[in-house]
Amino acid sequence: MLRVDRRSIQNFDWVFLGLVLMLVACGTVNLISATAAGVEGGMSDIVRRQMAAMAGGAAVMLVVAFVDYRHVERFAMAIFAVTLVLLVLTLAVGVVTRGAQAWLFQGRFQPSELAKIGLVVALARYFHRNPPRSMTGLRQLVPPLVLVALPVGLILLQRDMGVALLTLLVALTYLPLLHIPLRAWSGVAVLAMAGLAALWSFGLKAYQQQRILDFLDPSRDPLSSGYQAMQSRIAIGSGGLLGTGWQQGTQTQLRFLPTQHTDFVFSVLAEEWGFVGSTLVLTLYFIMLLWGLWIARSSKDGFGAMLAVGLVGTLFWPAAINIAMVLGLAPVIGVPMPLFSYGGSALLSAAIALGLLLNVSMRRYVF
Amino acid sequence: MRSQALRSAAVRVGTLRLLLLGLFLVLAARAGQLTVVSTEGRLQGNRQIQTQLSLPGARGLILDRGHKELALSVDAPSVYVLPQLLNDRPRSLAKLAKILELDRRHLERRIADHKGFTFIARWVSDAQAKRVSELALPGVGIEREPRRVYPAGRLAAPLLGFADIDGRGVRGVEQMMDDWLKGAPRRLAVERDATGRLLCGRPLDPRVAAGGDLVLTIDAGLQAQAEAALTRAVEESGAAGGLVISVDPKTGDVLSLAESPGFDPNRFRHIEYTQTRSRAFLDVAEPGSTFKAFLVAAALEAGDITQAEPIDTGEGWMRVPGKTIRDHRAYGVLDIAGVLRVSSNVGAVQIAQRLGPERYSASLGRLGFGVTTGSGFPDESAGLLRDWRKWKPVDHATLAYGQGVSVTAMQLAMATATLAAGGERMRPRLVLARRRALGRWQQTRPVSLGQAISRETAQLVVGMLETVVSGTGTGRLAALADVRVAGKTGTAQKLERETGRYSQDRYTAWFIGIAPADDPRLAIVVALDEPKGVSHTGGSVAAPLFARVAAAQLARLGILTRPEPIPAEPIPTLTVERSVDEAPQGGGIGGDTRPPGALAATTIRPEPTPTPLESGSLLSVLVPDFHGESLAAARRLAAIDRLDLRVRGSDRGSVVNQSPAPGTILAGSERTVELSFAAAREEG
Repeated sequence: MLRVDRRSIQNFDWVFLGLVLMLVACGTVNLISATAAGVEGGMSDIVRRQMAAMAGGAAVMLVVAFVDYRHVERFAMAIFAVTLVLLVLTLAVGVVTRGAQAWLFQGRFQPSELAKIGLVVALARYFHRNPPRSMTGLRQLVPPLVLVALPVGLILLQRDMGVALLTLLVALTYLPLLHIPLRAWSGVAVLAMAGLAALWSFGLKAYQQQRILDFLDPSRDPLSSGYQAMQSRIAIGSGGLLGTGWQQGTQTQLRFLPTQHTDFVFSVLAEEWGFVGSTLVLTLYFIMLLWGLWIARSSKDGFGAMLAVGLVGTLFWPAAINIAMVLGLAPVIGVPMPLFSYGGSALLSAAIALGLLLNVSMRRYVF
Repeated sequence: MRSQALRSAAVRVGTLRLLLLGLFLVLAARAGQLTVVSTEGRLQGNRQIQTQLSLPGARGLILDRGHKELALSVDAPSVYVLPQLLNDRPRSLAKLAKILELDRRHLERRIADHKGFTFIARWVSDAQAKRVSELALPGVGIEREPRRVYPAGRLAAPLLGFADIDGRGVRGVEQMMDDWLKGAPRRLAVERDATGRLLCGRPLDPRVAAGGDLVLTIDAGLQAQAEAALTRAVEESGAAGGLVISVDPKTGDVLSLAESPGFDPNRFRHIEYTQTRSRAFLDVAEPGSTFKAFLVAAALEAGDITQAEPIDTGEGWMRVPGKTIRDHRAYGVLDIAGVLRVSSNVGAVQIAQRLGPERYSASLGRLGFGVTTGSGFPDESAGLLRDWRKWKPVDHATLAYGQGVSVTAMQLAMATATLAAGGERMRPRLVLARRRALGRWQQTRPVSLGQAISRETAQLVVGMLETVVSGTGTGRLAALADVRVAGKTGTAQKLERETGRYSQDRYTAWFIGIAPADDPRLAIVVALDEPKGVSHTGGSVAAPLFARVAAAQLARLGILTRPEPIPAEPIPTLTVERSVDEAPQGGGIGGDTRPPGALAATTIRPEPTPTPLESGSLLSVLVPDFHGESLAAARRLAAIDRLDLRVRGSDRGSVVNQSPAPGTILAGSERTVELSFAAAREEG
């Protein structure tokens, strides 16, 4: 199982790894600045802890990359089941943080981050066994819908609306791959609308509804989540074309910006590096994602392709939502920016995703 | 081998890529809009960092002629609140209220009215500030603000005015020169973070933001002497108040301006606003008989009357339409000097009638009555001199002895100075020099307002006014040893506000004087408001005060003298032929037509003999700064103010310590200053 084919080493995807390392470097440099306020010289504890997590993440990524993903296919449902069990365990003994019961091990670990990977693995297996091409009716969508509904439902029970939505979106990455007839799309739309309405009235707490209202009008309560959005816009606006310079951002260094090392870490980047710097990082990130899609296309194995598409989804959606939120295009729903925000669980899930993508990539010539 | 399904999936992945790219472009465009296109975020950001708070810059210094500090700025802590950040409001406010000794409900109301940065207690003590900062309450902070301090306390307070809690000058020189004194707002140096803490961005030399400095024309020493003398006179006469102005006639410099009651500008928050006004500039009163001096000047200048012309005051009364004018007694026939000397109302009315209203009014206007002195002092009054065309005969008559006209003491002082300066009217100068922060001193120039009367007339009038301060004159208590004094007394009945009639028991006692008369250095106006008791006249209460102030101030200017009242002589009456033709025409002091007594008082002087002064008669003095002086130099300095020196220990080297401290006002017989010397360290 751990025997590594020589060809896969020869085909190791250095470009993808390079892209990832560049982004991690950018993220670390930015995190140092985001946590610098009030720290006399050197680095804050937050940066130290994040760097330790990175070392662990790198190890996880390499191990995941060198275990042949066909083993993953074989154990797909088991992996999925384990993540579900972790979710159930969280509900039973988890720690409540910021309104969500989403943490295990005394608040150090967030299983919902792993659940995304588990879901992708399960869906990739399903779509590999039942190729989208052969889908003829909506009835064939029922099994994948059940697969999606299990983790999403459990995460909703944890009252973690943001991650639930995110998991749903990751699953939706597969939607363009499916051959769904036009009239079926209208059905999907109706279902989605009904789902959203139900979510609003039953799934959302008052404060969550509040957040969405705040998003629509940030100035209605400048001290709540509208304040965050407003401060984020101010920080980004203070950046201008070229930015104020590293550790020179007035809004971030004076800590006007709340949660600037987690959810609003991108605002720090935008203020200190300006339009040019932040767009450069965005471009790098999207090149990485496109490379992930290239991995999917060049895979000669259905499971590998499907897995890569889903993994790209797990990297794409949090980034897109986080940046949209930071830029005031989406409500503040507490989604961290992969590779940039502080947080161990998110880093672990990103490391697994990246490792799996490397895994698929280096075996593209194996078959 | 790629399966059919896989190839189809590859196409779909292409679709996915397009979707991804689209989203990327949307996000990048939005980032561009926020960072580059829209400036709103940047503006808001700057506003919340460099925010509402605009600290006043430190006000400039106000110094006296000798560069002694009369007003300066120090830093004082103030407590502010950012209500938005205040948590557990009732408990926080209760704690604050206790330390600051304020009412908690008052605090709550104050905060409810303000959303942003609010001062809740200004200029608290350092101990209170320390206790507040130890509470470490979120949203509560200490800010150091410049606070105006007046180290000389009440000295010259009405002239100085004061700066209010926000550093705005609201009275006196502080208001007059506010634009010069006030500093630039110190906004640039201050940034605040999200918890409202102030962060000093760049260290700014406070002197850069500081306002300009001023040197006043007043001399703290002269001022202290004048104030001490005034306070004593007010007590002795039971007056409600009083003032003494002394002016350098040549330059118009106001050398001292003492007012009673005064106030302590350091306590301006506890003093009624009206009590802080300068009565010399703002209050008007009738000048009474002092006005006869200006009537005579006008009449002589017009040339209708000569100094030797006999004025028959008859039985001491005369009738004008609607009023009977009275003298104290019958003086018979007087010359013009005699009218001034005994202050005959009947004689003055006759002179005024010869002069006519138009020319009298014009002459008074040239002397500065009816218009402000041009000093620039805030809210200065112009007095009230009505249009001569509206004068009835009775108005014209009473104006001859200063009734029916209102003047400020400053107008009277400047008109007196005009007589002393040979007829040239100066604008009163309050500010001697000024400089920008870190700049060089720039002298202000004396400003002449033109020749009000001819030099000859002015000298003639001053000569006549000397007879007032003679044995037979009303102003004999104003006399000084070895120094010729010219002056005029005045006792003005005050108008009863209720009835609009002249009061029978409330007076303003005036004295205007010039010393030395032969080389005027000082023009002084003295007023006592409502002196009680039998002696309430200008001659009996104001003239001695003049003598005390003039003697002390002349001594400081290097002319040693002391008050020396001249005993009253039997009043001589002059009998002159009632022939106008025989009277000599034209000017010039003809000694032969003057009463012998007056002549002796003005021209014959005993040889100056240095008389030891009794300590009891001495006036208060301001202790000079002896630091760094040698014993010989200290002795010279002490001699000016007649201070005794006591030396502790060695008397070699220079003064390192003195008691009392420089600037202390010494009054009464205790006039000893103790000095300690230390030898200067030999070099090498």
